[in-house]
Amino acid sequence: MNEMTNPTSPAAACGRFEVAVQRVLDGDLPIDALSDPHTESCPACREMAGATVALLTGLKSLPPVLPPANFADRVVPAVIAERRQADFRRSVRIAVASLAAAVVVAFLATEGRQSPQPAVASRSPDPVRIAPPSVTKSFAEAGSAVVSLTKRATEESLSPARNLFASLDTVRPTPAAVPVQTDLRPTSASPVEPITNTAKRALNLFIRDVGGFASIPQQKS
Amino acid sequence: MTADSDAELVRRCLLGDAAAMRSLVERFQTDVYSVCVRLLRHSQDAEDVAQEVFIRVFRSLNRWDCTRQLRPWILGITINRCRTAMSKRVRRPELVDHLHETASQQPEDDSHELTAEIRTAVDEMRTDYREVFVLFHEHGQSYEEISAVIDRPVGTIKTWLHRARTEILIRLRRRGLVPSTDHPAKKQEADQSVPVTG
Repeated sequence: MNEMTNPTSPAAACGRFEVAVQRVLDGDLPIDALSDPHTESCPACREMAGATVALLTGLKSLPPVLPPANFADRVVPAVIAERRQADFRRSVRIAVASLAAAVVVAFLATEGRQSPQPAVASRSPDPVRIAPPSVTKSFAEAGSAVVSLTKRATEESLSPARNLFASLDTVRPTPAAVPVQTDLRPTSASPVEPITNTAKRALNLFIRDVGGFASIPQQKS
Repeated sequence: MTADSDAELVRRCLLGDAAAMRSLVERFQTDVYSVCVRLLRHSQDAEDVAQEVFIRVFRSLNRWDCTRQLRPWILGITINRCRTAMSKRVRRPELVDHLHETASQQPEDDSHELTAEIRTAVDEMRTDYREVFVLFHEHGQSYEEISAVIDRPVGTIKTWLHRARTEILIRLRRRGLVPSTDHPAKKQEADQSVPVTG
């Protein structure tokens, strides 16, 4: 059993007293705990007890450290200004991100319309493709597209009429037409005969109706 | 001040209430500024860092856990900002303006020499020892609270604090500031029996 493990040895008593000093400084023991009989026979621990009392006395008499009187007056405006700057920076970041997203979307849309190539091919560095599309060019392309669509629709509408006229021009009378039924009366004398007959019938009906309307007052009179 | 009132104050601050911001600054400015002064040992640096602390506090106030106390959280930010300031200070000559020797803060009684010696001893400690000593003995923080502020285990905090005290006690003995007559406890008869822990 050595000095430290022997509870009755002076070293063990010094160790216990050192623990008591720390507990007094922690506030767990009152300052009376420093009045240990061990200090009567141990000068080192007696000086330690005196230093502890001095430290406690000094800590009590330490002057408080107070901030300057106008400290809050300076801090609060600085805090508010910093918060405004932070809000402004956040707004700028959002605006820049939105603008960048719009540019990227426009670029991808233009890129997809101009060069429908595989993705691998589009990764090759090409400064011409990276250039952003101009508004004038976009309007010109849109106008050309409208013109081409209108032209194509017009062509599709006119082509049957053209074919009809072309077929009329190319009609040739049959050179050796043999009448099958000689007793049949021709249905029409000219290509417009059905129209003229219809017009005649309509005119006759009109004249008959007008004549009927005209005869009504005469009968009354 | 209760934790609920701190939470209410923080809620108003997050809504942009300038009066609440001022109340929060006034509530914690003494703690923040005194820690900065004790750790940085320079009044102008302490004021600048204290202002920076509050800017940081308001910037990250929405991340404060309302189930915890606000004061240790703010003191943690203060410690971190002081460490950063001290690391920057290494690159330039250190400016120590001996705040405890100014006339406005000089005690009138005979304890001036003792307090000055304690202050000098604290100033010359290792930074981590000084942090725990100031937080425990001058700001009344418990071991657990200091552990949360410093982000170190409680056992480490105890070790550092005991070593810091031992350094001061040895210094006081060497300087002859220890009462040598009678039993030391008898000298404290007129004083209060409860020791100062902050």
